[in-house]
Amino acid sequence: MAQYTPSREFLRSTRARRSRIETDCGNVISLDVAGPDCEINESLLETEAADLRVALDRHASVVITDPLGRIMFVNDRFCSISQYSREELLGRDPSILNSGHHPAAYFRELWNAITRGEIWHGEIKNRAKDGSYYWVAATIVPFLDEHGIIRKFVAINSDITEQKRIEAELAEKLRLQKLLADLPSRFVAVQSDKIDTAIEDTQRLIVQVLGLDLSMLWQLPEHGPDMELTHFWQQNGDSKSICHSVSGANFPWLFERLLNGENVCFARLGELPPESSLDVETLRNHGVMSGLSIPLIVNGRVSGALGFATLNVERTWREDEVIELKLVAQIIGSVIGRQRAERREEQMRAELAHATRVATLGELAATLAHELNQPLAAILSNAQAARRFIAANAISLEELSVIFDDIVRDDKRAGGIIHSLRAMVSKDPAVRDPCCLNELMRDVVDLIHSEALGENIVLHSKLLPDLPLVYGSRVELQQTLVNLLINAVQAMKDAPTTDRIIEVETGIDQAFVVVRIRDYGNGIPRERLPHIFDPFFTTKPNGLGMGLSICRRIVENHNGRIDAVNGEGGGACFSIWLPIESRTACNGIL
Amino acid sequence: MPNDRAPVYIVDDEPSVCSAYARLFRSANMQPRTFSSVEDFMHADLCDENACVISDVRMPGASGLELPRLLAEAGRDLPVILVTAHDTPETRYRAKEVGAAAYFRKPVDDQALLDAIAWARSRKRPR
Repeated sequence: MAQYTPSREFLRSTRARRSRIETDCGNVISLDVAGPDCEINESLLETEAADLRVALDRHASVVITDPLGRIMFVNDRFCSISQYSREELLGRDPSILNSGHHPAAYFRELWNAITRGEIWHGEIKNRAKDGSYYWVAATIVPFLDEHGIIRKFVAINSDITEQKRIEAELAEKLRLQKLLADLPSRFVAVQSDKIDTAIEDTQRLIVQVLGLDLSMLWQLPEHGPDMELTHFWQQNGDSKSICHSVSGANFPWLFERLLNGENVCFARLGELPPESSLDVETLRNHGVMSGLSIPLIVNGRVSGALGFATLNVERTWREDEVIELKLVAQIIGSVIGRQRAERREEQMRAELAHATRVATLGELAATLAHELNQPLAAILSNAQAARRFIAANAISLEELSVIFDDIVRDDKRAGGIIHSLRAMVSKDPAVRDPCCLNELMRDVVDLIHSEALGENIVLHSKLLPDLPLVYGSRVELQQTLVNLLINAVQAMKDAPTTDRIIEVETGIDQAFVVVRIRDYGNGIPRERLPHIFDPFFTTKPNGLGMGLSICRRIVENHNGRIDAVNGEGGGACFSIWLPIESRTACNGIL
Repeated sequence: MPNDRAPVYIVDDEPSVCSAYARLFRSANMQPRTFSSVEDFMHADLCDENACVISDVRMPGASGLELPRLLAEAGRDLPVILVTAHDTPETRYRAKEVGAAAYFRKPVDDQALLDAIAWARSRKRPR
């Protein structure tokens, strides 16, 4: 057992140096107990020093090291707080307590200061022998000999762990409150396709701010009985995480509570009632030790739950946290409500566009029958002619081969028409590829060809060779062109017989491919021009009025623009601009 | 059939249909000639003896439905058989009304078409 031998030495040095020691509380312990110019009573001095030591032991942990930083002395308090025995500490470096919290530079500066002979004040996070952490406010005083050479360092440390804990809790509260204050604005401006990311970001921030392990967002589908995990964040998540293996069916008790609108909060699994045994088993299997689940209200109905949990460590959920997190659930609930409404709207738009395509197809049925019957008529007559020639033995193989070539060509033509029909009734127009508008336009002109013929209309196509491609949905762009062409044909119905022309043109306008469809009908009345792309705007007696509004939506979804003007010399001219996808032109076309 | 090498005039704006019909009629020992429009056909210098017209209905320019009238106005007596890819009750009715010898919907079976030609010619001769 080491004895407190340095006391004499300590006293001698104080006598020599007349030191003052500031404690962490800012008090000054005056050691002005001796000086070369004052006579002192040795025994009085010893008593005072002993008392001082007792008082210091009550207040602080003390460590004294040699000039190289090796521990020469520790007081009892130092031993009890660090959990190391005196034997374990003497002769060691104080870095035995290093928690890893501070960067190396922190200690380097400390060492530089005290080796220069300066007193150092600061806070240090230490690690006790059992691995737990504690904070101290330290004052380190270097003691010098008469030549100014450092003889030793004395460090006096006050325990500020509790103070630090309160500070951290306060900071956490503040961070949470700041996060919550930002939350509404985080969601207000968010675009619908970024909502999912915003929700997961929020989960991540809350998990990080509160020092949790995971957050899960469950949703009750609009048409379905079981909760589905839709958003998830796990801090340092691994592949074994709870989301990959657990369905809502594993939490019957929990979800029943939540669907009743109740919060479920537990600091440890033991707090959960016996009837939740299945839930508890699932939680235990995944290492969940504490949790908080809050029902999610969407449009006034419980439609999901927001959950937070800690893994492998118990946690008490403070009342103020629960209140704040309920607010988070409310905000997310309203965002999900908005997202669902937008999805419904999007679905309805898609269905409407599909219905319009099918309706357009209906309008075109007669035309299409004509377009298909032409090649079929040629195929049949060619085949039957060939059969007759063969029966009469009146044909050469060369002639026969020419007939077969014709049959193959007409068959391919019929197939092409059917293919473009299939695209028109496709329910999935979302696929986007590089498209050649010349090619699309040619298909559409073919499709409309006999429709125009029936009205005695001549279609003039002026398609720019080597037109750059655009990026888009073939189905949607084709639908747009069909719509505009049919409109043009219909606009010509009452036009005088002389100018029965529709001009179709493709070209380049800066970074855009431009398509123009010009008719010589009666044009669009000036007062209606600003509204023709509005939904339910129709000039046709039995039109739905959706055609042009859908055209505009499609074009704008392709980052393009659509415009209508009345042409000089009568008639309307519709133009579409679509961004050029690349400089690759439509090869082999035209 | 000795006089079957009689002319058959095909009026259709669709080249592939024209050439297929022409082949069919050649295989039946007839002499086909093709025209891409009513106007082309009307302007051609043709022998109407024992001849017959197979015409499409919907074409650029005059419709096949106008052919009987145009022929009558030109003082020509030629049976017109209408074959259309655009079959509607209205077209059918109008075909009958304008005095077409027969009316078919594309695609048309070879035998039906050849029988109709034979019948149209035989009907014309006694007149």
